[in-house]
Amino acid sequence: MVRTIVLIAVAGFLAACATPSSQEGASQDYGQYQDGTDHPAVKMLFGQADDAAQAGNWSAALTYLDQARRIEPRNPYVLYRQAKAYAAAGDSARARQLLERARVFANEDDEMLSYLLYELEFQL
Amino acid sequence: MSGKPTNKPTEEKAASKKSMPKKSVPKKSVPKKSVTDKKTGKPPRKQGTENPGVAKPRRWKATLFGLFSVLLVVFAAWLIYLDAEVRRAFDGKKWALPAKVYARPLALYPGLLLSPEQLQAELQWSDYRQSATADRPGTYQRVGNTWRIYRRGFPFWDGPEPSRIIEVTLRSERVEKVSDQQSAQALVRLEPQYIGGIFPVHNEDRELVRLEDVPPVLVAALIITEDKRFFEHWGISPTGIARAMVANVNAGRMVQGGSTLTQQLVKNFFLTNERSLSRKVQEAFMSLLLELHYDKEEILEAYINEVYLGQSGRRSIHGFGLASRFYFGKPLRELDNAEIATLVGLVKGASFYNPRRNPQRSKDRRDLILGLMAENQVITEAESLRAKRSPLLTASPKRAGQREYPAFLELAKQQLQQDYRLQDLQSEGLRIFTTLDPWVQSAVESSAEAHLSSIETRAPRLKGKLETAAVITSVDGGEIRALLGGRDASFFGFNRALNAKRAVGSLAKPAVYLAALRSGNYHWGTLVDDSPVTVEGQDGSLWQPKNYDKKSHGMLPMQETLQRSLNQATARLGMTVGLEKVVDELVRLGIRDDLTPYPSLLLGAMSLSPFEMTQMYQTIASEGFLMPLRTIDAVTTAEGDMLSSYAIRGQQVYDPVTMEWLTSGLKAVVREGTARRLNDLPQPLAGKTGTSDEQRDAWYAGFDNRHLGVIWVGMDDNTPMPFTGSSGALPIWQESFRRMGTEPLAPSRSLIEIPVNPQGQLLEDGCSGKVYAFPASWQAQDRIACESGVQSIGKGIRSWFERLF
Repeated sequence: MVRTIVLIAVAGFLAACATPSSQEGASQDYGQYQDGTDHPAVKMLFGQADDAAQAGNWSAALTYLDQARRIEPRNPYVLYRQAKAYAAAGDSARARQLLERARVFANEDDEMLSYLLYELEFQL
Repeated sequence: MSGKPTNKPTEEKAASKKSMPKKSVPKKSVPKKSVTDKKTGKPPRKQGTENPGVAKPRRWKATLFGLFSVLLVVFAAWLIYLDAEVRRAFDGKKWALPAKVYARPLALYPGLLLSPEQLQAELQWSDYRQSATADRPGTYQRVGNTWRIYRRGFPFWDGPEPSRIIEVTLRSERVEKVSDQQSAQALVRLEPQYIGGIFPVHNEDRELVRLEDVPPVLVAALIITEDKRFFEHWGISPTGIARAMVANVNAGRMVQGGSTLTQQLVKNFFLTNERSLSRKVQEAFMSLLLELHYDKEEILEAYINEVYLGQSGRRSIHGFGLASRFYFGKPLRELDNAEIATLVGLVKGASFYNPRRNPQRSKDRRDLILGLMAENQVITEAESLRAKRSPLLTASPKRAGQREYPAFLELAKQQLQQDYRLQDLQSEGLRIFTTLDPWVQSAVESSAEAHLSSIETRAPRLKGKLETAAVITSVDGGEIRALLGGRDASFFGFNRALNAKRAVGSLAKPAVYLAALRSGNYHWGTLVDDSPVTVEGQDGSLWQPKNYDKKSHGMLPMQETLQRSLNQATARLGMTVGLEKVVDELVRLGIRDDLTPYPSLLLGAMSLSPFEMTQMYQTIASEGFLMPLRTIDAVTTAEGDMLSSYAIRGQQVYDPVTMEWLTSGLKAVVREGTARRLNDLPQPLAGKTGTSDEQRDAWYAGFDNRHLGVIWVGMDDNTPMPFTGSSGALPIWQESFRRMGTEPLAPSRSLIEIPVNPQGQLLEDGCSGKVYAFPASWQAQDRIACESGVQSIGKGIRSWFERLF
């Protein structure tokens, strides 16, 4: 119980800290993470995925992210975004599965881990 | 010059359409059915006039009038029917356009593992030419480590990209920098290779072009060669027919046809190859109707896309767009005058004038057309002479852009059919973007062939009998990167990777060790007993597995029994842990076949395809993520609109720590076990060899940081072979991964190392003992101090003895 409360607090704090996005509507559903990589190619694909997501084209967003995933296959931020895209497209089962997958690679990233746990517990 | 008989269209073209007999003279065929209809034996349509009237003149006249009226009505109805036919076919789908299947595009970004050999090969396979300037799309130039590539424009899955010049710098087998003419780029794609089509029954393939994309020189050359008055006639050319008749009468046989382009189109479009008079009449009327409804440009465009221009295996090449790629490896726009004339020459007889098979004949025809082009001021005399001097160069039909990948295509087609109707795949011109990596595929194909040939050299009695299959996937995404369905990679037939169910032998053993590790009673240093074992089956039969060396090896650490693939130890371990537990692990790893829990299952006495084994090892390699192995990335319409795209999906079915733990055992197999011949590749790697009973099957399944590969070698009739998994299949994996580029496995994130003494007892850190991997959470209460050597028998060992059957 205590863990949960701490978690909510941490997650809330993180959400508040997250860079406000210029793409209000779409990004709210889509995830607050605008970074999560230093890789220029992955960043570029994140941008393309965001554009597709904003246009409501979740399938294309997922495929862009999948190309990012091929470049950094074990980057939990990529999987996190894919999970959010599945969720926004209405497929919460798959979204959960990818969040679980992201967790596998989020081991040393406490911030990411708390995000994932929060999503798994309360969002999906 | 229009009087030159050789320039006239002949009837040969259509006759060559279906089968391609080695016919030498194209003009010989004589109309078969012009006088009587053989089936009915009656002369057609003439009864009315041959029945002499015996009645009075008036009745006779009335009858004639009536008959005439009826005929008129019938004729009108027939015309209306023809008209509807013509319009329906022309307005609706003119062609069944096969889906075009593409490999993955090569995505270039800084940091990508990419050898110069690979880049060179990928460019060649995509029909790029090395040139000193790289000043046209489809050319490249290499200066030291820097490659300047004039990439063609291409409609990718997410939209078209124009042609552009890019520069790629490679350093130490990696991409160092990618830039265009202005600035550094994060990511640039080369266009993907065409890897095959999903064809309708007759395997007609074409690449549609619009008239405005066809070089005007080609259009002009086609018209002056095939139908000089095309823009003047109404679909048929009486003068042409008259001239042809005169020529035919003079020659005493059919040497010329009087067909216009419109008639040729109608014949290919609506009618069969039958050459009867009634067909000719119908063809003429349909041509007139076609001209009535459609303008010359539309008809010309249809002709350019319809005409038959060659054969490639099962695939028939239709239209100038595809012919240009097929013969010259470039799009229509890039053709020079000599190449245009060569293609136009094919209209008269695609087999007869085939530039690859009959180069001299093809060149003569080409030069004749070049002469015509100059005479008609399509090109200048000087251009014509220059073109005539150029050699008849064609691109190799075997180059990757024109070969197909039957095994991969079969699987892609199966997976597409989950979302699309076959009919649509065969006719809607869909563009399919797949996961195939031609570089990986080529590595596997050549490695398999080289190894099987070398076995055959050593054992000539095996010549031509050995078969193989292989599946290569990406470790993290389950994308199929290569699929080999048999030794002949170009064969459309039995796909062993998907459909050969073979005994998997020791490839199943990791499931036994996984069950043991997960039971909580075992670790890799636990001693297990490799001594003769007898298990009684439900039917009372006795199962007594033997080791490969026919010996027993006593008590050994569990890791050693896996790395040496000892059957007795594994069988005993499996029976101790429980057969059902092992079956549970197999199912959980992704085996969907019905598994009957016989004891022999422990040693792989079950028949599964290489594809199914890949699924099992995929779950291990990906640290427990069970995902469908997929071939499709995206599907778009012929116009480029996206219909569907696919991304990773799956389920974490194991704790990743457990899978890493299991993998540490598979690493030992490579480091010091049956797969140690891999030690010349970057380490660590993980894998397992497999050999079925009496050596009927040789297997290897293994992975590096990027790819998982499963290789099978055997004979279709299940004959035993004189080699095992490690000498039969492993070398193919080894050579494939060497060519692909190997990336060692990443260090473990969650395992720790603990020394263990020869009795299987855990020692304290820093003691000398064999070090094994353990989960960080391992509860090791009984660790003993370094010196104390043999203390009491550890808990694990004792309980294991207690449970021994």
